[in-house]
Amino acid sequence: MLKFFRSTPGLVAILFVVGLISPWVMPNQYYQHIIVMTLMAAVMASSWNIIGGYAGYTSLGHAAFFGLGGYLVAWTNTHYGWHPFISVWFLSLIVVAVALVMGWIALRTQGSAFVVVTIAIVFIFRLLALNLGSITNGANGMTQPRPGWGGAQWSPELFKIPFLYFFLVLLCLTIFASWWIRNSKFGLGLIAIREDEGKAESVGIDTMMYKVLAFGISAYFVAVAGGIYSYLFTYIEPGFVFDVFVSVTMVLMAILGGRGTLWGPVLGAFIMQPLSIWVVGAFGGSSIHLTVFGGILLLVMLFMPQGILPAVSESLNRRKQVQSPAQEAK
Amino acid sequence: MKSKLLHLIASIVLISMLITACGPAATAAPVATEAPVATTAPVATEAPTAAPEPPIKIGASLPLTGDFSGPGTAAKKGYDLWADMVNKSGGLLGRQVELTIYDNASNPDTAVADYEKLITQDKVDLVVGPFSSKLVIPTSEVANKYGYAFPEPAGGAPHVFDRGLTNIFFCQPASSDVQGVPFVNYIMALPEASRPKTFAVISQDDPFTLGVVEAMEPLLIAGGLTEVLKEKYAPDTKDFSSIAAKVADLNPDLILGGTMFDDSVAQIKAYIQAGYQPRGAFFTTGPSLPVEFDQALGTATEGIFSAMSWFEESTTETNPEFVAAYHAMYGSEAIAEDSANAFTVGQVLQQAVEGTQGVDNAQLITYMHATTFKTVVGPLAFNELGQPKGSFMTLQWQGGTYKIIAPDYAKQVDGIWPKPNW
Amino acid sequence: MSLPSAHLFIQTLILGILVGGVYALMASGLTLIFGVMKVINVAHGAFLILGAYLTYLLFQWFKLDPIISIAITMPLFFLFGWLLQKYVFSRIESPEQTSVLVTFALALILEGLLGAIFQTTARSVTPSYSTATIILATYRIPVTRLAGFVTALVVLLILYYVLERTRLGRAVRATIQDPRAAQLVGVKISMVSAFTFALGVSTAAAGGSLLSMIYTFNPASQGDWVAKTLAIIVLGGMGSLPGALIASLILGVMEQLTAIIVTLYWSPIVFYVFLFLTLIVRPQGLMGEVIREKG
Repeated sequence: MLKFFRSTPGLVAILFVVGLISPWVMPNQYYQHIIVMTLMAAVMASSWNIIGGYAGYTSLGHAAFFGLGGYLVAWTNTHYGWHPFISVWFLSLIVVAVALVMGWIALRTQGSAFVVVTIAIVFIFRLLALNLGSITNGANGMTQPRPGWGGAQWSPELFKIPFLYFFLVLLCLTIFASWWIRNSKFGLGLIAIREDEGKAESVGIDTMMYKVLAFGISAYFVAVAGGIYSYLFTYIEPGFVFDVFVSVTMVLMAILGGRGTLWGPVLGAFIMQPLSIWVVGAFGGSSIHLTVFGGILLLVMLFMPQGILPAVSESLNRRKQVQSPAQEAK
Repeated sequence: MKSKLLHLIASIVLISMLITACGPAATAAPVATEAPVATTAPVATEAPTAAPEPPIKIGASLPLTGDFSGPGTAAKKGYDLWADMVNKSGGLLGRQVELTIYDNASNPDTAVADYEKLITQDKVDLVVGPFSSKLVIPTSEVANKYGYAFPEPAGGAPHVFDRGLTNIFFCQPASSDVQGVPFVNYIMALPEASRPKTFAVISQDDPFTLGVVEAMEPLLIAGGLTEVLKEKYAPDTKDFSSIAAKVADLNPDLILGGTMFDDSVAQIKAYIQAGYQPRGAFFTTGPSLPVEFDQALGTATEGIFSAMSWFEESTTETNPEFVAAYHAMYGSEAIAEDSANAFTVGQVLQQAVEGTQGVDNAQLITYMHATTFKTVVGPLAFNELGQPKGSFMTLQWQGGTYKIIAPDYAKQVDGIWPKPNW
Repeated sequence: MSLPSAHLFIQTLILGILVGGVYALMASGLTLIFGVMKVINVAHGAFLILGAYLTYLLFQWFKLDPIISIAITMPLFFLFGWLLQKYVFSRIESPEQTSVLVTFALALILEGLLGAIFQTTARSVTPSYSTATIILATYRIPVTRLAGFVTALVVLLILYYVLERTRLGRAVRATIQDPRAAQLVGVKISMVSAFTFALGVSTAAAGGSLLSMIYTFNPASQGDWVAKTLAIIVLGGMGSLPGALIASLILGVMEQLTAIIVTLYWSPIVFYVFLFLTLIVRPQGLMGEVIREKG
């Protein structure tokens, strides 16, 4: 039994149950808001981790997929009344198709050049959203019908709860997907690419195919998150979603917790998101939260580039080895 | 109806919360974890002799920095002044007014988050609107979601009113689609020979600016003018040099600039550099900021037109008191229209709260739809969408300040046509 | 879409070339740093804006002309860049992988600080000649842009002289061509890196001063500027100074022409269209090496 709770499905089950009861323990809307945003951040960081962690390609372009998901939901909800909780699963497949094309171009480059190209992807989508005013309503952003189900709007007191549960389910799915990839031949291929792309190619891995596929999959969950985010706020605007800063938050959370590990990005999001909501709140409209965020990123990059989880498990291992070297044999 | 039931429960919860808050046990001190830009804290020494009642909390998010910082800061002065005047005269329903204003840096998403926070975390009793349609459109949805009345000082674009919301009250004399009409009438009344033949529209992609200039376009065309160019640009556009060269090349008689403050200055400077000298120039926002516009452009302001909801010398009821109180608080500098508009919001809210004897937002909304308010911009009444039922004026810069030139009932001086070179 | 008159076309061409010269100065530091250190300095835009604010302050306090203030801001930034390289960037392991994130962090820190100090309100430096123009055979040349163009050329010429004629400059060029060989003949890489980084950052000071009198700016503008300069150096060929110059002129002209032929709204997209086309058609850019460096 104890063993189950230490396995991945067990940990996901604990996460799920805790999430399920959380809104009833914390009826305060503001805390519910923080939980919703934290779950969303964990989804995004975990999803980014598939290309950024396993394959080692630092994409700063994922804000584009976040925003695209948001716009697709806003548009179909406004014009056709498609309910985002259902439509977002299909609409995000369109985003994946776009991501595959973008990946096919961007993944011709490596290292820093790849990062720069992915930054450009975000800027292009921002400009498109600004310029295609007849669809996106340009710089003024799009508003959506207020959240509800079957003609009735959710009451102001309770309307955060459906979102909390949605992101909870989405996070569990994302973690399972990430877990499955990590233990599959596909995932091993991605890790081989990260370690030495040339060698991976020489042992017969179709590296381009692997990378593009990973890029597309990692865009999927980010797009779903973006879609529901725009529904939650009932408003979407190019400058906010198509912002490289959105990508950087995913990267920082993943790196902080442990890039390339299963739970690292989740841990990073659980630490960073409440912190950044608090900082933004404490400093109001001033931009000092950017400094705090950048400062943390700089410190992590300089002093703990491998992240919390790997650092902790390394030191645990070391202690274990010192205490009982015999146990290592098991 | 399920939602009605929930609404009832919500009201009961709210009322019971108010009762407990009023009780002796509650020491409802404002939580000091946040850093609101300004809070008019209740002055303890002025507490009435009765048991101290909790203040009425009013929240707003304004663009104090960023693209709209000029008009946004002016609006804040109007809100602050109103709260100060109310508190000095004994408060609202005997309770002090506590104003919480956040800075949204002109970002719609920050504004949305601010109102969410004001309502759910700060638990304000009432909210008032931000500056300009771009921010009013998304934030009014938030207020509506929680059932709050949303009187707002600057957000009169067509899209503000076409979403079926009934909690918006635009506290200016007229919505933006008719603000430019007096200027068009002025143009049409010019003698045939000196009337402009061609015009160009260069507008920021913003619901307010487009709302004004796009309503003027068909009227000018119907009046026999030819539109030679129409350009929309992104809000963060900084380089107008090549488009100014293009305008100079086409040389229209009249230029309509759909602008906020920064871009009005940038456009005019680019026209000067490009050697473009129109016979008439109209800009939506910018010329209405008396101090900043003069500082940025100096003598180049001469002859520029704009639409105006209010002017300092107006003798409408309550306006002289407002003007005097403003100068007592902020000194002798000229008052911006946006301060007056924000003050108007305060007046509307005040009369509605006193009229309903409470801060129940549902009641306030009903009351605001049915009442004519006494304000510094004149009597103000709203239709079912929250559109005001009055009309605007036209101003022109003359001798380093602006004067009302139309319509006749408010006219201070005659208009100068054609305008001198800038 | 409308076809411009010949006069308007030439007028816009002139504006494009003038702005292209300023772009060249702004991009020069970025390409130089990449050439030597293989670091993509995403904080370059933030350095430009920092330079612009410094110029703004000097103008507000002492009425110092923005062009003259370059003589103060450049040495300051040189020192700043040197210290930054010595104490921050030299600590990074595998800079090709992580330099973008580290410099991005730096950009965020600077943007936040500038935002806290100056707020996001748009500023610009307005010397007495800010709206003056010179008329040359019916073509109008704004004085600020002409001054910016000339200043940019002078600074670029000085940069060229430093790289071609000084010992340290030769060491820099040798390192760009073949770092290992340069090391073998006794070039101290750490010294060269610090020098290059400082030089690159100091060009941002000059670029920022010019920016402050030609455009309005706020802390958030740094993102736009870094995107523009990155597009320029990718088109020019990463690490190539002459490439950056040519790419700046091309993009400056294309941007201005797009504004009058298509619309002002689309003109910024020119940069990204060229960036993507470059990557697909000619990844090495106009004059550079292939940017598929190993990660």
